[in-house]
Amino acid sequence: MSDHPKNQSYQHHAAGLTPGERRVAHGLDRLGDAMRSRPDAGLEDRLFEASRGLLPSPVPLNHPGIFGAGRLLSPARLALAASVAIVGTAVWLATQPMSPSPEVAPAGEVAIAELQAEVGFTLDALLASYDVPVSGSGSGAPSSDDSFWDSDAELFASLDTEISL
Amino acid sequence: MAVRIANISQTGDAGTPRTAIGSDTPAMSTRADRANQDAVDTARLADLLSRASEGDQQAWREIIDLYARRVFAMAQSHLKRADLAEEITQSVFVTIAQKLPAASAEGSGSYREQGSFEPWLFRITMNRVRDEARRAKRQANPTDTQTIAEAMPAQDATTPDIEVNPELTRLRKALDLLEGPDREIIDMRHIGGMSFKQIAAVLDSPIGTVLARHHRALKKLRNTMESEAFGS
Repeated sequence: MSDHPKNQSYQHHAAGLTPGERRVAHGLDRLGDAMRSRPDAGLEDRLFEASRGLLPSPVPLNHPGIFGAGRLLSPARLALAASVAIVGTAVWLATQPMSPSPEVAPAGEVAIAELQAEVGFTLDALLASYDVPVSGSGSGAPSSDDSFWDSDAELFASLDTEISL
Repeated sequence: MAVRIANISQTGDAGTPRTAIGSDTPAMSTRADRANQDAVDTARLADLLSRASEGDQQAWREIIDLYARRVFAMAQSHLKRADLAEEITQSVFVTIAQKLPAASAEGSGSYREQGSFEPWLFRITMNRVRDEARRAKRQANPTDTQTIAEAMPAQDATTPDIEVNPELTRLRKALDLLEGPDREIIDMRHIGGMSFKQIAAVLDSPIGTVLARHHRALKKLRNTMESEAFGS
């Protein structure tokens, strides 16, 4: 160790002391030992209690898993689960038909049939009032044949005749 | 620094704080033993400081156990009152606990580098001791150094070992007459168990200056003890 400059300075420092100064230094070392080992029960305990609260909160080494009991039962998670359940139920109820009945025909088909029957009845009543025979319309049902329109021509011709009279 | 131990201490004080962390003075050990011991102690201190800065209370307790007596002894030696010394010691550790996380986060310049924590700790200690000594001096308003030494309740600073040893009692009285930088360097070196390197760091002085001041302080103590009027 003597090759290091600092150690050389320490050695020179020690070597430069007189016997009286070494004796004083030795006595000071003993004095320091005595003071450091002075029985003062509880000093460290008191210091620890006074300062422990100033340390930062310890970082947990083992983070609880997301499926841990503590995480699952947390208030925030319970509230979120309840909200999802309520919204889901509301959406399901909104998408359900109010009075489902498999025997009833679709609403569109029912409306068309009623309209056709009503038109046929009106037409029959109109024709009956003028006492004009209409081919193929005895049942009052509409006809899609070309003869239907021919009959109409005959109808209008007879009407013209009646009016002219 | 085995030479210093052999020539000055002559006690083989392997268990004293000076052979602990950051020390420059091995007792009865080889250079390899000394280096190994330093490495273990430094690593242990770094681990303790790291854990304590993260809130590990067990690590903090170990740090207190390592340094409380040294801080307390330095304060008590300088202030000569156990109650004030404990107050100072408590304020020092409170400050350390508050600043530990921030100091730990400073990276390469932090105290965790080898030998940098103890100078930080003892610099805080010496600043508090100086502040308290100045405050006490203003309040006491004594006339001279002798009056200060007599007015202080020196019995607080004594121990059974000192009381039964007349040589240590005389040394204690001579030390009480020493003041200023000379007293500080004696307290840091012999009472606090600091290395010269650490003292130089605390005082922000070259190590040669520290050694010269230490030598001068020892000479003053010897002269005081050898004076005919002292201790009779």
